[in-house]
Amino acid sequence: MPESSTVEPQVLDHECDGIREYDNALPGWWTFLFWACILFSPLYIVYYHIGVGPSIYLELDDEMAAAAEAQLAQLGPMPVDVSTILGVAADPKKLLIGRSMFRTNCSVCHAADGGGNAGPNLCDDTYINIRSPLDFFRVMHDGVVPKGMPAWSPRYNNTQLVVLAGYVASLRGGTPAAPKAAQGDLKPAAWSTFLTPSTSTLEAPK
Amino acid sequence: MSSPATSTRAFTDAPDRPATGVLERFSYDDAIARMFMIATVVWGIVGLLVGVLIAAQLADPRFNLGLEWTSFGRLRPLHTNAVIFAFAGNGVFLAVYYSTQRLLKTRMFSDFLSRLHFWCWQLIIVSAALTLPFGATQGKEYAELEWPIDIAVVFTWVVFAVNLFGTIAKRRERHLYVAIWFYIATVVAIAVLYIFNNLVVPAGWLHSYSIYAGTQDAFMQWWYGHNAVAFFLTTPFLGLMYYFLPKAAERPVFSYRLSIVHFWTIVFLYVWAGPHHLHYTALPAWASTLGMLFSIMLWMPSWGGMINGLLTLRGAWHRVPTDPVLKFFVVAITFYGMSTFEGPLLSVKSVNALSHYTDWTIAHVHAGALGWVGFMIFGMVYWLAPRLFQTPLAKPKWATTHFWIATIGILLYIIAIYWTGLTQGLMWRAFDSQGQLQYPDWLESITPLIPFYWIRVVGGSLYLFGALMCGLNLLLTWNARPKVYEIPVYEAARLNATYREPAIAGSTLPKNSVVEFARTLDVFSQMRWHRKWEGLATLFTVLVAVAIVTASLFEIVPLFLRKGDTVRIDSVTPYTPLELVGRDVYISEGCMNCHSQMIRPLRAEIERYGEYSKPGEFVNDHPFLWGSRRIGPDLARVGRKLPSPNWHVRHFNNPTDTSPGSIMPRYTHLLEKPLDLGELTASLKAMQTLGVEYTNAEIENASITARAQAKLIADIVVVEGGPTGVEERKVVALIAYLMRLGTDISKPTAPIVATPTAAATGGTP
Repeated sequence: MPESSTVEPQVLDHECDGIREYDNALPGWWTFLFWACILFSPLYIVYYHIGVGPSIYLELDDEMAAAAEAQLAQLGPMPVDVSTILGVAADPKKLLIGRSMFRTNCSVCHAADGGGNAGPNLCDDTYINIRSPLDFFRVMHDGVVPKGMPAWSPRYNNTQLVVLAGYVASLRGGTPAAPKAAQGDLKPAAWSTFLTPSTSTLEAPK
Repeated sequence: MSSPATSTRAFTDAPDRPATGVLERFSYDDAIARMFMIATVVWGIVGLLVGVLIAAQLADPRFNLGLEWTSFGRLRPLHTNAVIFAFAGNGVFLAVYYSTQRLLKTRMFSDFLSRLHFWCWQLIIVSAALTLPFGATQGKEYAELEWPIDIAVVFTWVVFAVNLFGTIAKRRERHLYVAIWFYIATVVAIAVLYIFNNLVVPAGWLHSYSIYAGTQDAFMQWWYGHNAVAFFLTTPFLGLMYYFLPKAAERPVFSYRLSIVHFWTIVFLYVWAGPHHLHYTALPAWASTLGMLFSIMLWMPSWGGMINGLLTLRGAWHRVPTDPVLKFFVVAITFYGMSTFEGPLLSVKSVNALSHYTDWTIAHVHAGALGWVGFMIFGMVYWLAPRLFQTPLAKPKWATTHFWIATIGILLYIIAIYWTGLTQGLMWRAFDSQGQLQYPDWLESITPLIPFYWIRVVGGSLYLFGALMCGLNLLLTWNARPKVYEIPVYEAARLNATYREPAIAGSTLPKNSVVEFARTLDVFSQMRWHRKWEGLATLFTVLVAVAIVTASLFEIVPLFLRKGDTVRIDSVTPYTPLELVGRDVYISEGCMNCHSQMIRPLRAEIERYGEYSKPGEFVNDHPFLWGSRRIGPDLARVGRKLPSPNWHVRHFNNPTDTSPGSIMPRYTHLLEKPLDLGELTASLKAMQTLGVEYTNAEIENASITARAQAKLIADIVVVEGGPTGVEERKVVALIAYLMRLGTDISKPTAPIVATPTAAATGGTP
């Protein structure tokens, strides 16, 4: 035994199948931590459920609002028009945002590089529903539901959809790893030709 | 006092023996312990083997073997059930049957009930193996077994309980030792938990729906699920520890008082902790908070067990280097301490936001299962084998080798999986400088894990190899057994009916210097009053039951009565008949083993999956399918993201076709097997019984409605350039269900499929 005889604890006088038990007291640090954990509970409840502590929903709202604000500040005004959509291609920061949105939501059908899979190839020159860059916005906003393209308007606001439209427009002419065969019979002119003063602004849907 | 017969051993030192008492002769039933020991090791090997296979499936989906019966979703429940109920279960019964007889100085109540218990339990395990791979499942974790097997489980548990309490009733040892307390808690709690979580309405012999829906079903499931950990993998193993550890160490238990305090606090506090599995879900915040706070309070009671284990070894540590039994016990108790620290840590909401749905949980579970449960069992088996087979262990060195191989196996396993858990959790929530998800593509969070999944396979294989060594060692030991087992006869007196508990010694505190209250408190904290309860088995059992049931009702009653917690959403309507069939396919394939359906109110999740899930969206979900792990992405709003049926057709046919690098198994059988509407009427009627709003007309016309919707989807598949004839295939139902998921809250004016019958009856399709 490592203990000296003076600290050797008392063995209780009962036994069970030869097993005996010491009468050691609860370790002090154990008792302290146990009470500390118990006392933490009312404090937590009072602060978060009765008092001023934020709920997870309030925290979420704050975080979402801050993120939206930061993004708006980053993007500046993004009206739904051709020049803004095509302007995305010239801004690496906006392109990165668009790319991230695309890879979160679109690459599952259109492939990460836009080469198409279940959805059409977005890198070639033929389109099913796109006559002008504005149509990217329109298709994203309303979807082509019977053909499997969801409407993204419930999920994203117009500013975000403009960025995404600009990103997808910028994919044209890319060289995807596994391009899907051309679909659709629309062959819009090069995007730059749409940048004329006569191009009207699409009325922004609500 | 000693008997003339040489093989008779008398107990001479029990203090409450009447001096003139008549000694009764008895022997112990060790044959039943031998049976449970063999079953423990055999099922342990089977469970671990399935574990290694499914671990390999995550590293390389080709290990799904291309068969519907061997896909991850079907085998993962087989693995968990085999390890929990077959390996740990038989191990618990081995411990109970061996130690209870000795601790109570009596043979088991009934040899027949012992054998009935044994064979029924093995039959249940076999029936699990014959149903789970074939997709018969209730869809709730560790409660997958279908209702006829559930009835068999409850029957067997009653047999066990009668046998145990019968043994307690005829005991010759007045005071129940702490191991027995834990056994009692196990029997009582598991009965309550198992019955109330498995209440279902049958829709066929191997098909049923949980009577609870959505949020309430989730709560019941994790009230059960967490306490399966508590009362199937913790309390019986603490009981086991309190018997076999002091036996093997030949040292007294460290602290009787600590046993009392940590036993009662565990029994009362554990039951509350279930909701910590549901942080940030649609469960009401108050329940989530209770789950967290009680988990934190559980930390010290759990460590009470660890302290009593490790400190009992004081004076025996010098034997640990040479004794494999003590080695196993020391590492087991250390893992228990680690797991029960990690548990409260993971239950803290902000930690859980990171860890939930990741491998961190899996690592935590395996530290507990492989380290604590497994090593306690192996330590016990190595201690018991020479005693039960009455011959020295055939290969004592193998036991030490087993210990080292298994320890390295556990470390490889858990370190690899802690790493993947942390990696994935951080990747899911990472934002780039533009405020966008840094890893938006799901597979970006999978491919970096694959090397570590291989390390897990290696670690698991090492652990399995150790178990095989144990099995072979037992076989060799059994082979060297004596021709006839010696059955020692013992003598002890019957309990004295007029026994009175000696008066409790008063406080030793000086009378004049302290207030009387302090002296009372001093006597209370000596815990000698508890000795009386230990002699009153019925009272003890009732108190345990009261603790468990009271703690449960504190959460269950408000959860079922507070209407405000689940705000109904008008646009949420029952699934169409075809979607319901698809949901059954989803459950049967075990999709929820890899896909959650619960978007948490966290910014990263909303960015990735869409609007967070609301309680009102799940009111028709019998059972709930929120899942607990995202090996694949969340599917709560997949209907909004992927309304393309042909994408699903291609994806089920070969997931890498649409998602290069995917580790999901192929589901070609869904495209080959015919759409089966045979149980549809029974399913809808069961749902109607549960209060889901289906009209009788809808149920009558269900097949027609389902076929019509199948045709509509199949037509779109063709338009999208997919194969023809999908309306006749099982896959169409699953696609219908997936396309519906998460769409209700933003439902346009009319549902996607307007059915003629629904219009005629005015019901909601």
